[in-house]
Amino acid sequence: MTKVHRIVGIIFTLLGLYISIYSFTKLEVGTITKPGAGFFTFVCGTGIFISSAIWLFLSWRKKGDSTPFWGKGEWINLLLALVITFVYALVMEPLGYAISTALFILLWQIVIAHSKPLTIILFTVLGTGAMYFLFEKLLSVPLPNGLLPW
Amino acid sequence: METIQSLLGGFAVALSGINLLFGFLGCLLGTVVGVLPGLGPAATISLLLPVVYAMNSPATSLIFLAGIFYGSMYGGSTTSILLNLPGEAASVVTAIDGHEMAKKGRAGAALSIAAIGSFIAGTVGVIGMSFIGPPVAELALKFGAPEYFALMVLGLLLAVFLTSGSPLKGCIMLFLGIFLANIGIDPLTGRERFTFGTLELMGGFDFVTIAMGMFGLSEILLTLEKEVSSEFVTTKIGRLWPTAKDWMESKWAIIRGSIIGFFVGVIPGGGAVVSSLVSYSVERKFAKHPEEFGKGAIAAVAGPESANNGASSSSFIPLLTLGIPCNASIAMIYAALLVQGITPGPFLLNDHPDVFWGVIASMYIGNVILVILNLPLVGVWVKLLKIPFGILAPLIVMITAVGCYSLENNMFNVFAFIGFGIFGYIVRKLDFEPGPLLMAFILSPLMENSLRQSLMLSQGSFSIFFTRPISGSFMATFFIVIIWQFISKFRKSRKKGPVSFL
Repeated sequence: MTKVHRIVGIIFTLLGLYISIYSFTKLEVGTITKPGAGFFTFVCGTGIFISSAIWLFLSWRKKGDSTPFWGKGEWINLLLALVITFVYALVMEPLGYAISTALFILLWQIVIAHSKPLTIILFTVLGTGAMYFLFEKLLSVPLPNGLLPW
Repeated sequence: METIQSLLGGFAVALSGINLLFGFLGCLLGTVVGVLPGLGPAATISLLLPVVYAMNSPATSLIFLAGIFYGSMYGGSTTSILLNLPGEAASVVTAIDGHEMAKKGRAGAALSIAAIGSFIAGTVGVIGMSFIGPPVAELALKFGAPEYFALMVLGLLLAVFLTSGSPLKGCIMLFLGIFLANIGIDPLTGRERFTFGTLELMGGFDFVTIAMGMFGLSEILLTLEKEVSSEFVTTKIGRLWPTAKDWMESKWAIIRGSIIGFFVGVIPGGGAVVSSLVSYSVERKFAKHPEEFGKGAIAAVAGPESANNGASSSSFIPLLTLGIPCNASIAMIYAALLVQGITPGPFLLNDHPDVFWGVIASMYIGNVILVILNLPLVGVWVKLLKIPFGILAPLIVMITAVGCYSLENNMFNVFAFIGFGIFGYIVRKLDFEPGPLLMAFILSPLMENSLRQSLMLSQGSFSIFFTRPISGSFMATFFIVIIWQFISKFRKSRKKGPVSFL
C-alpha cells in the first residue's frame, strides 16, 4: 500500500502547509503574550505539516509493500453503499423522511444485500415504521415531511 | 465513612426505576454489540448520542452509556471463544487461547472463567473508583490553567503512543482533531476561522457528526468490504462451571488481570486493548507451563478478560474527576454529558453528586446484571450472529443519518457525516487510529483556553508550565515518555534492525 501511503502523505503535508499559511496570513497569530485567533490553528498546521512530511519521507524510503488498497472486487459494495447513502441524504428533505427511508432500505436490500423479495418488503415497511416511531414519536425529533403531509 | 454514605446515595439513584431500566438496557445493548463483529462500543455510543440527547437526566444517560461501554467487554469474549471472531478489539487476545479451549470441547469453562474474571475485575475497578475518585477530584480542585494544560498535553501524548502503533500517524490524527475543533468562530476574538463564509461552518463541526462518521459509518464500510459471513457456531459449549484445576490456574491470573486493568485503564490511551495485551504477557511470564499459551491455557483467558473489564471501569476515573477522556468511547460519553449541561471534572463530585455516585453504584449493579446476562444466556448471544449484516448495516446508517439531521435539523450535518465516514474509512484502512483525533477534538477548546490563560498569567513565559510543582511534574513525565520512546525504538533497532515509525 506504499503508493496510497504516499498520496495520503502528500495530501496531509499540503493540508498542514495550507493551514499554517492561511493562519499566518489571513488570521491573526498574535504574540506569545497575547495569542490571536490564528495561533492555535497555526500550531496545528505546523504540527500536521511536520508529522506528515516525516511520515511521507519514511514511506518514500520504504520498499517492498505492494499490497493493493482494495482486494479484488472489495470496492464494489463499498461504492454502492456510499452512493445509496449519498442519494438518501440528497432526497431526504425534498421527498420527506418516510419515502426516502423506504427507498434507501429498498435499494440497499436489492443492490447490496441481495435479499429475498419477502425480506425486502417486510424490512422496508417495518424498518421505515420503526425508525419513524423511534425518532418522531419517542424522541420527538422533527423529521422532514417532504411530499407527505406527516 | 463519607464515601460509603455517598455510595449509598448513589445506589438510591441507580436503583430508581428509570435508571435501573436504562442501566439494564445499556448492559444488554453492550453485550449485543460486544457479540456482533463490526460494531464496537465506540461506534454504538456514537450511534446512540442523539437518543441520549433527548433524555433529560444526565445520570440516566451516563448510566446507560456506561452500561454499553463495559457491557461490550463482557460480550466480546463470547464470539472470540466460540468462533475465533473477536466482537471488539479488546477480545482479540482472548480468542487466542479461548478458541483453542473451545476446540477441545471446553468452551463452557472458557466462557464462565471469562465472565467470572470480568465480574471480579469490574467490581475491583468500581471499588477502586469509589475510593480513589474523591481524593483525585479534591486534588484536581487545586489545578489552575497551567496544570490543566500540562495534564491535557500529557494525556494526549500518552493516547498517541499507546493507542496507535505509529507515533507519527497518531500525531497527525491529534493535530487534525485540534484543527477541526478550531473551525468556526473564535470565542475570544469573534473572528471566523476556516469557515470560508459558510453559515453552517460558523458554529463549527459537531462532535456527534465526526464521531458517527469516523466510527459508525467507517466501521460499516470496513465490514462491507470483508463480507462478514453468517457463520454459525458448531462448537459444543460443554460443562459451564470450571473445574477445581481451572480455578487453581485462573485465580491469580484474575487477581493480576484486575490490578493491571485498573491501573492501565486510568492512563489516557491505555484502556481495554492495551491492558489485555499487558495481562497476556504478564501471565505468560508467571505461567508454570508457558509452552501451553496459544494452545488453550485457561490463565490466558482469565487474565486478559479480567484486565479489559477492570480497565473499562477505571477509565471513568479521569473523566469524572479530571474531565479528561481516556479513549474514544469515553470521549463520546464526555460529549453526551456536555450536551446535558454537565462539565465532567473535579466540580462534578460536589455539584452533581447524584451523577458521580449514581454511575459508580450502577456499575456495581451492572456487573451483576452482566454475569446473569452472559452465562446462562450464552446460547442466545451466539444466535445473534445469525442476523445478516445486510439488515444490520442499513439500520445503522439510517439511525446515524437521522441522528445527524436531528442535531440542527439541517442536511449539512448529514453530508459532513458522510464525508467523515469516507475519511475515517481511508485512514483506518491505512492503520491510523481515529481515537486521538476525537480526544483532541473534545479537549481542544479547554486546551486553547488553558494555554491562553497560562501565557497571560506568565506574561508570555512558557516557564510557567515547568516552575509550578504539579504542572512541572506533568511536563517532566511528558518529556520522559518521549525520551523513553526514542530509547526503546533505538534499542529495538540495534537488536532487530531498523524499526519503523510509520
